[in-house]
Amino acid sequence: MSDYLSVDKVSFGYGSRPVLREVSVALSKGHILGLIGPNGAGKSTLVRIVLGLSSPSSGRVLLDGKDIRDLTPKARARRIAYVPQSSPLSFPATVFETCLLGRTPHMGASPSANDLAVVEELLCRLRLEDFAFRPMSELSGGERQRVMLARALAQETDVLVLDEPTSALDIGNQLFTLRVVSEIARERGVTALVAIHDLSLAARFSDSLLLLDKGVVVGHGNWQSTLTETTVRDVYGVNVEIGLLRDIPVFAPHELT
Amino acid sequence: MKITQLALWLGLALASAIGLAPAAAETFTDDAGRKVELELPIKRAVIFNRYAVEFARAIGAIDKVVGVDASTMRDPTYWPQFKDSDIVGQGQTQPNYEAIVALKPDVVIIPRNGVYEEAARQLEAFGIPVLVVTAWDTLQHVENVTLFGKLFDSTEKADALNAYYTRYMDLLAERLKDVERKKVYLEEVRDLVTVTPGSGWHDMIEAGGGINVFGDIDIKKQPSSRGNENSFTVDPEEIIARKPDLVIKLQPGSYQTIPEAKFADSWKAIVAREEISGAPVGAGGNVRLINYYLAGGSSKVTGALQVAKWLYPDRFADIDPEAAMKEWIEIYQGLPFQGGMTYQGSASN
Amino acid sequence: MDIATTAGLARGHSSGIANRYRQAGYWRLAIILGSLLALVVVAGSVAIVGIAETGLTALLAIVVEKVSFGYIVADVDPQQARVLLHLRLPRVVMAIVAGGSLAFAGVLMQAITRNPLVSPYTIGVSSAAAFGASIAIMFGVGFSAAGLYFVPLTAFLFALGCAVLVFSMAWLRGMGAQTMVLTGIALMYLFSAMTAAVQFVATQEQLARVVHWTFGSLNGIGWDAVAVAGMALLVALPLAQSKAWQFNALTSAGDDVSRSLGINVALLRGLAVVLSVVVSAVVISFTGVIGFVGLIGPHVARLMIGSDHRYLIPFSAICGAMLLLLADTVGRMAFSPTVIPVGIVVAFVGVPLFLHLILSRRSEYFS
Repeated sequence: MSDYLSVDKVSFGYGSRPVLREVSVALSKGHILGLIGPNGAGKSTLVRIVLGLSSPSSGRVLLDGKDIRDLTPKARARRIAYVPQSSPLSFPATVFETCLLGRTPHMGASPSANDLAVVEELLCRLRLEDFAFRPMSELSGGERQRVMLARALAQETDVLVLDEPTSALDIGNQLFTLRVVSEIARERGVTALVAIHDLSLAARFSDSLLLLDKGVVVGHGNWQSTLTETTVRDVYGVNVEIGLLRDIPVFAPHELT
Repeated sequence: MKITQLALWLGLALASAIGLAPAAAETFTDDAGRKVELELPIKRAVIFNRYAVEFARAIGAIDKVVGVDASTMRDPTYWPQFKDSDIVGQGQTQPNYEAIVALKPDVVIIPRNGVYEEAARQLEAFGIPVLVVTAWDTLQHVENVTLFGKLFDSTEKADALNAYYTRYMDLLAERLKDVERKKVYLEEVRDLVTVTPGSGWHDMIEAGGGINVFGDIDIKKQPSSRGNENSFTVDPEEIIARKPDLVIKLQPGSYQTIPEAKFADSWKAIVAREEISGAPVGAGGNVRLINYYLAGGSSKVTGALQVAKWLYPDRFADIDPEAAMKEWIEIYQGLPFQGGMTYQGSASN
Repeated sequence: MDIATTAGLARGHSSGIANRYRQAGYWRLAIILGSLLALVVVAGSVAIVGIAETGLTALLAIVVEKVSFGYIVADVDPQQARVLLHLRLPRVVMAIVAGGSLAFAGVLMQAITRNPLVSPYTIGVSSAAAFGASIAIMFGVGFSAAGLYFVPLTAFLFALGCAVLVFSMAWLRGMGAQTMVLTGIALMYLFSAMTAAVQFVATQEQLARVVHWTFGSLNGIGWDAVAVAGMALLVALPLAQSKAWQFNALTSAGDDVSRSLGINVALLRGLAVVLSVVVSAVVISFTGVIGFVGLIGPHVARLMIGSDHRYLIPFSAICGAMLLLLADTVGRMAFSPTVIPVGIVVAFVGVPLFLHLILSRRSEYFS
């Protein structure tokens, strides 16, 4: 399968402590990549570079063979969508309004009937229809996260970039969010890059994992090869037991090294 | 539009040709250097600033004043001629143009610290001219009163007022000719605030034969934080260092007499101050209180007489400043004089 | 929670929420049109109250005459006509334009900073304009014809300078919105203090003009001021309106998400700063400092119509216009014939609201 999204020798930062050093990874269409690594490994920076929010100091990000920096902001927005960790709440919009923002790159000054239909469908699918006209500030963290996911999905892109989408959620919402992402990826052939802390969820929902440490790729492949007791100990400084419970990978940290 | 204007002009020309000119138009250069054409005499005037309205009353033209500002009307008992409906704005910076227009005046008189440009612009469409006359400028007294006499066709009374003013000013000049001038510290209503050259109160001291102890201050060379010529902040030590022979404290007041008890409280407060009682001037009992409002009569000539009498009692033994004040109030302002404009407590207090 | 598959819901599944959204839009449009109508009615009613007797028919006749460029001649007592045309109407229209402009500027500034405490007044623009005006009065060219425009122009430049200072500090140094508000308030005090200091060295004539500036007033406003300020608003409003959707993204999704939605955030911010500062500075340069309208207008509008900027921008302007119109009418009529500067009347409403905003929702704005 041809590479749809590829990160090509991307470095970021200058001096003796670069944030990313020659990171390369290639993803085919519909592939879900779990981006893992300890705090400060460079996950967020890589996410920003793939989104085009930051420019790498060297290297490039190719989308279907084209450098994403050669796309206009609007064209890029039709191809790559972003689910951030949180959203501002100063002037809370309603759930429907927030989700409708995802249609921005597809519309003129105002949303069309189709835009409204897309949002309606997504809100129903993410079980948000009952909250549709509530302000974001009145929602729980999990509900808010689902709205942000709905907004990104409303963008109808073929790449989805999620920055720790489950960090602030309870286990039910964690599973729900990632299940939707994986279903959409399968259904629509959406390529997804998910920066995530929870190793168990990462292993369970990703097609492959990319393990970063201090800006360098230290592992890439399926979860079994990337997350071994040795790599986890080296990268996270934790001794873990890795096992399977009813086919679900489980990582049980038992001691700091 | 053009045709009606033309017709109007033709009509006016015709009327003047056969000797039916409605009134004499005269051009004045006002205090802001503007040229203003007025038809004389003025029958209806709106006047901003109390001193100017006083002039109008002094020359018998108060019935031609149809509107005044609220600052002028602060003491209604002083202005029995006016009612609240004659007010045309708070002061010279906030005229109520509608109120002015409703009164249909022949002229609006406003001092040079008023918004005369704005007023002229707003009233232009109504054909109401704006004349800048600064009556609070004491140095322009004769000029201003003469102008008022002309405006209101009351030159005789204007001359009489000027005669009253110049009589006392000449008398002061005459008797103070070779006097060894004494030093005066004049304090505003607020403590430790005095006046410097450029202020009418400074001119009053000088006219009364005193030397303003802060008269050497060039206000333009002073830091802005110390204030302006009308309110200049001083250090108490400076007052002692400048060795005044007399301290005059202005008292907030109006046309009505300040109650004795209020004077007494002010007196207690000022003699309690170290820089007053601890200095020779205070120890010698040379402290006086004077009603702000009445001292300013007729461009402060009444105040100047009082200052002169306090400083050089021998030379002014036959002069009664209260009588001059009474003359101003009763003859020129047509109100009963209430007296009690000054106060002096016992020095030992 | 049931975490079973979410797939399988057919495209086109309808729950009626899209319709509900559409209807809410119609309602908002209706509110805007209704309030616009109300504004015209209120403007008409306050234009015929005053000291001189004027009637609604006289007002309508004059408006018809002017709108038809004199084709239909009004049969009105000329004195009444002049009062309406030269005293009442410019003042009423300026109240609408000034209130609209300040609230419009406020809503844009709040959108780009995501902070409801930001307004032309609270970031110091108004005080800077007043200081600029005082400087011009003190050291300027005096009372010549050029001087008439020299003062507003200097006021305008100072306002612009202050805004550039506050906004560039905020962005170049990466400060948050709350830091910006605090910087603005500090500058507001600085400029107020400097204006006060300038007053000490002013002559009587200059002092009167400076004080006139520090209290915003619509007294003595002429059609020339209305034309300039009105023109600025008429240009700025449609420009901002065309970016309304982008402002939605910026306020409710933040910088990064907005950029990921294809919005040029830097350009949008730049445009908003220029439009809001120009529009508010123009108004202030004619009227003097009028605080709080830029704060209250957007606040009231947001409570009534929500935070969708397609409706919020025009509705804020309408709310601001209504507020200032009513405030000026109160100032004009309450102690008539004494005229209270509108800046003072507005402060009576504005200060309590400002405190309420700070105290009640403090955690959100000063996190």
